Amino acid sequence: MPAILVPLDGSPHATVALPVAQTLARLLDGTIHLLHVTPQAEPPRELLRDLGLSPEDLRDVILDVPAGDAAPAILAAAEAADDPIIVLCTHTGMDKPFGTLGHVAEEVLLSTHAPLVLVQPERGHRPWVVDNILLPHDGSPTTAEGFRPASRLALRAHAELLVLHVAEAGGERPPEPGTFTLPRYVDQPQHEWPTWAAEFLERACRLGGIPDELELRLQVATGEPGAEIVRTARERGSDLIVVVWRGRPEPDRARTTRAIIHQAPCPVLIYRIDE
Amino acid sequence: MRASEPSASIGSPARAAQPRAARPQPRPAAGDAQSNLPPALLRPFRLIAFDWDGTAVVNRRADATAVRTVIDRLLRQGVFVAVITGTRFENVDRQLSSGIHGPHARRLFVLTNRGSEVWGFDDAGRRVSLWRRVATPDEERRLTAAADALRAALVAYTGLDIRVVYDRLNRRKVDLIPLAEWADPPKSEIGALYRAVQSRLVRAGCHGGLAAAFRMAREIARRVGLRDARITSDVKHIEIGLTDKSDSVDWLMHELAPKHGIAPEEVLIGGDEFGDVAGFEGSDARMLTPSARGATFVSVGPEPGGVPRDVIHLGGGPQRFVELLDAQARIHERRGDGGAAMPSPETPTRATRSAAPPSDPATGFSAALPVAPTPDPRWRIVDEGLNIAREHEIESIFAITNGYLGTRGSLAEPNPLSTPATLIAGVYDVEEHSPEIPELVVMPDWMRLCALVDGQRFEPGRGEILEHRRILDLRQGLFWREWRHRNPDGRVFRLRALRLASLADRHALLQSAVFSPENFAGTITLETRVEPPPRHPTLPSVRAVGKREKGDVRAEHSRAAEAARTDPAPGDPASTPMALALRTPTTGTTVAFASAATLRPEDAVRSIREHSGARGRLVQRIRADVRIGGVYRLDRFVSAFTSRDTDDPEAAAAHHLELLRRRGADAMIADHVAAWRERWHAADIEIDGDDDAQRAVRFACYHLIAAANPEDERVSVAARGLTGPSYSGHVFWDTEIYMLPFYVHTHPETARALLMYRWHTLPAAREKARAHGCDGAFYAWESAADGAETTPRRVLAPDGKIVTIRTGEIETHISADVAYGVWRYWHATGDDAFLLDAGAEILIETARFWASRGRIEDDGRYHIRHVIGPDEYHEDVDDNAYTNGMAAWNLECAAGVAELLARRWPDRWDELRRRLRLEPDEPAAWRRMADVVYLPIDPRTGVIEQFQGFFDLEEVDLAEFEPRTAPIDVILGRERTRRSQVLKQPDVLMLIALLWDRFPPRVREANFRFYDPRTAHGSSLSPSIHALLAARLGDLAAAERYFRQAAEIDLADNMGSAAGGVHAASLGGLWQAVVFGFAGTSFRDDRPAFEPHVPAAWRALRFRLLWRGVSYRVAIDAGGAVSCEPEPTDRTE
Repeated sequence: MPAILVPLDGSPHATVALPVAQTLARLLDGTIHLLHVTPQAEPPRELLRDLGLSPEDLRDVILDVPAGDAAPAILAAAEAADDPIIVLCTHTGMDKPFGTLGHVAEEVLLSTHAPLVLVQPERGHRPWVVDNILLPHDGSPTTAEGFRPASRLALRAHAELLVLHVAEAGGERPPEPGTFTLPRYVDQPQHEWPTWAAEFLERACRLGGIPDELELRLQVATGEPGAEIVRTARERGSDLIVVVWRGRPEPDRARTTRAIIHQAPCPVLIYRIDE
Repeated sequence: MRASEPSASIGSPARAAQPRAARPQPRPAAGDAQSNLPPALLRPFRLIAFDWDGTAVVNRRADATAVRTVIDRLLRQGVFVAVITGTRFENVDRQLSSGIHGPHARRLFVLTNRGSEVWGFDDAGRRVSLWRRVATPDEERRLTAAADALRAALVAYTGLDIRVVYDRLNRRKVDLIPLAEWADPPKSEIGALYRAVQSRLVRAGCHGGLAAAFRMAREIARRVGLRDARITSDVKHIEIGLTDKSDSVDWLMHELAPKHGIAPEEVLIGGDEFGDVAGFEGSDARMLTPSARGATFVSVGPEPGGVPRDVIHLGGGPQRFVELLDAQARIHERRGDGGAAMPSPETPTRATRSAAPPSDPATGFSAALPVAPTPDPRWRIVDEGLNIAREHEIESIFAITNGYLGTRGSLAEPNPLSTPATLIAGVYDVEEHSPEIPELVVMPDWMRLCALVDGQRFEPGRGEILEHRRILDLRQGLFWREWRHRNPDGRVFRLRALRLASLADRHALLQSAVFSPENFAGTITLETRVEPPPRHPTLPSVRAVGKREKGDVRAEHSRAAEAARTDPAPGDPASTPMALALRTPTTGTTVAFASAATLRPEDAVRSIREHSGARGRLVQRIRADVRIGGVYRLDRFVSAFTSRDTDDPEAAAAHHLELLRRRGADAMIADHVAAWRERWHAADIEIDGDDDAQRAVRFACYHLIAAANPEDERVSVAARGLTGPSYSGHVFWDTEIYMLPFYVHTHPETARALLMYRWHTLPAAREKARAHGCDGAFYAWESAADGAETTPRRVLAPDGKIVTIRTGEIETHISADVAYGVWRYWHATGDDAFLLDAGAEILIETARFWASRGRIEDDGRYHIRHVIGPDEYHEDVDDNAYTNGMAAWNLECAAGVAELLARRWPDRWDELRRRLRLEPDEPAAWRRMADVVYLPIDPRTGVIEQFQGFFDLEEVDLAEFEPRTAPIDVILGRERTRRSQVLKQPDVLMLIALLWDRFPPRVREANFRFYDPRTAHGSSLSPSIHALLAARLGDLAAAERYFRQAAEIDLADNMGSAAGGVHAASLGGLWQAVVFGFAGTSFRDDRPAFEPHVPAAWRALRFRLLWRGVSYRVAIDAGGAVSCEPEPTDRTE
């Protein structure tokens, strides 16, 4: 049973994570832990007022109020939980433009190994329904392996999975053995494309633990991966983008991940698998 | 066992590494020395290899008298001694080899410069260079580029003074701390050195320190295109090189040990840094190579991070190592073998060594297989471990095929990504969703084999894989599997198994497995199965037949639906032969597989039970009592027949199986290996100096030999052979243009059979021509059993759009390609009977097709309109150069053959002419058309326009899109590609490659320079032809680049290209690139001629060629000198 950790800092933006967390908790039989990190303890009544929460928001929720700095406390809570998922607003500062990652979210992103769902404040407090999940896939076994949490979620939500493979001119093929990207050679398209598509999806399913009963589609795009993923998510009305991230923060490494985080039209689940 | 030295860490440098061995140490009494050593080190080793600095001596300045003395003793006892070092020869020579004199010095080897050189000694003690890795100029450039880039990155990051040391053989060293006080740090100061380097980098802003610099080096090396770069560090430097100590060990295991019959178990390898040092792989860890599996490893270093599992940690530094060598010398002196190879129970010889113990010491039973995997890495493809993400391509690459049938290299146990399949040439069926497209049919899965103890199966997905590899033994045509496994209940077993599809008897299949329970005893059940195939993702499958007129076929040849024998007859521990009959659902071809298994030693067998399941499944279970350490062998005979071969395939399979059992597994293996030896005698290409190229070419020859069946002229070789489901088993121009030359010059019988397939399918080609309003024979672009057109008409592209496929309709050059194959075969063999019986008819009928498909227009030129050339990015074009050129050649060739027949065989000519209703003036008309074919060469540039209007299309700089992870037509889009000068594959250049002598040198060169940068190589058929042409034109850099690209199509481990089967045409192209490209072979004046352009790294190129019934041995040395000698003809028959 996952522990769904929702950090709140008292700002209105922070609570946009709640509808997402509530849906996750329902689908995954999880428990929501609201985390409010304060320099010092605060009486519960004042706390609820400061957080802007209603009694409804607190139903079946555990409220944790650790003291200290926000990011380390969030990371510690995730570390302590058995099966944690962190659901976090991308930024809570009122003056920041769309697409920015606040310093707490940034620090959590760089440090946590727990699945992290980033929710944009622009999403508001609308209930979150998971009908379409977008799985960007670079064709490497590691990325496919990272689909497992999404499979679990999709199965519960009866969601459709769209696997998106983006080919980039000038991009490099992942060096990982077993990688399967667009074919370098298409001798005869009438044979190559059907077998390639079947092979691509079969590898994604078998390595990503995607059960046969899930509806799975494949789409191929060309261009800059981050932009294409965001564009596809918009066009297809995706409810969640699942990003498998290898934990490499260098700018050239995290380019796609950051582009998605900054521009995604829906929550983004970051599943980290360190190289 | 003596405790190791106190552990040292980076924070407290190794205390053991003090110069304690500065004086010769008194030799301990034998008993003393040996009692202190673990038993595993107290058996005689015949090859002792070790690191020098830190293992044998404290440092390069130390007195090495003690170690030199004991090495001298070992050498005199016949032991081979090898020093493995990262440094130069002179540094070791000063301490060791200069002090060893006499003939026994020939057993001393010094492997220097981090895997790049091997030195030996002659009787006079003079050093002799035995091997040297020579970097190509391109590799030198990349090494320098990588080192410079790393330096630049570190300087940009830190602002520190970082320097590059360039003058090292095959490597560059990036000095992270070029400070005077760290100019030449002794190894004992590694801890302090590490702190200094780490602190220097971190303080300057490189927070990841040495580890980050190391990662950067790896990334940069990859980016500059250094394949298999070896990144190492001695803490002071990051070294980027082409070799490391693994190459030294590989040389010992692949060159020295096999030459002297030394088994891996007879090899001792010593070092002092096998474990991690400061988070880095120790400098000796690279010696733990797969090639040395079975050898004993020992470390005398402090090893603060511990040692890998397979290494014995002795500790004690160089002094302890001298003690170890001394103990070895004493053991050998006591044995007094003086160098003779003396097998002992502990030291199995090469012939008997096996992953499973070859013999059971308790019973004396020898389970040894009659052959072992070929040790030479240039003869094998190895898949180490088990990465199921690569399963599909591994299954293709490791397929065993013999032209009649092919079985993918799947494991005997299923895994989530395993797609086992056996395919039989010529057995097609259709599926409901595409009734016009026949596809090869998946046959019963005959490979299932598993062991059960207490109901628990041994399978890779359960428990722990202790060791696992698949080996494709190219030389012997064998699939090997070596596996050591621990079940969840702790039981450990070891297995070595081979699988073959016999080249000597194409209906015969064999599995032979030697296994041993390492830590358990009891009753084991071995279950073998032949099963109807599971539903295949892309191909139709055979299905179980029900009743037929003669009764239930399953019961007919099984002795009983279920049989049990608890008392097997003495000497006949085999299971009952059983046959399984299945049928293709639509075409109704019956296939039968018969199977029987034998377990030895016979007295282990408790019962044998067969079961023929209701769903058409054969299950055979052998229960046996096994002992700890016992050795057992299972042989499984399988026979396959179809109703294409005989009226009663079941009876044939059962009868054949009986013959196989009588012949026995060892004889079957011997027959098969002999058949492969025979084929390799004619087909092998030897490349000295470039192991990757050598392996790639042998891989190509292996699959080409295995793909075709000279005994069946009603089948041809499909695009993926019989190795996988892609392309549905359809036959393309690939066969005649890409593969046929290999067969013509190595096994003409096969070439003839392939061309006879085209003769048998002439009726369908005539029918297609008529359907297109033409005369003669218009061959199918895609062809299956009867030669009818089987090209799918449309496909769903990855962008979601439906694309119409027109190749079956207008890619007409296939007819000329078939004709070209006919002529090429006849020209090379002089097989007049073939020409008269079949070849002339094909040439004439294809010429008639061209005479009707094109016409002489008002401009007086012969035009062919609305075609697709080999460059399929441009459809429906007029006057495609390749099509026109080959059509003209076809017309001219047919006219010439008509004249030849009329002159030399007038009766046969009359008969043929009458049968084909050939008008007397037709040949002359063909010549006229050929003479005026539209194929203009620009007089100014020498360039041939690929088709009318090509020069007006948009020019695209393909370099802007590199590196590419997708075909260019996906990146640009189909429409823009069509409007551009971007080619999928050579077109004009293909014409020049085939009709080389018809174009002047200036035209060849001009067209290569024009079309090469415009060719996107979107087809696997492309790189090999560019390699061939570039080599013939003397552009070796381009030739080598394309050759590598072609070689990687199936063998690269991150492309997955081979998942649906190997690319047979590309493999044929690779062979042609070597023989016609690098060797520059042509046939003039009735014998082969050569104009070689051989890569600098190739020290020698040797191969055989058959030409007009004579086998020529060709050898080309690095300087381009050619020797071409005919061999006795009896060998070539």
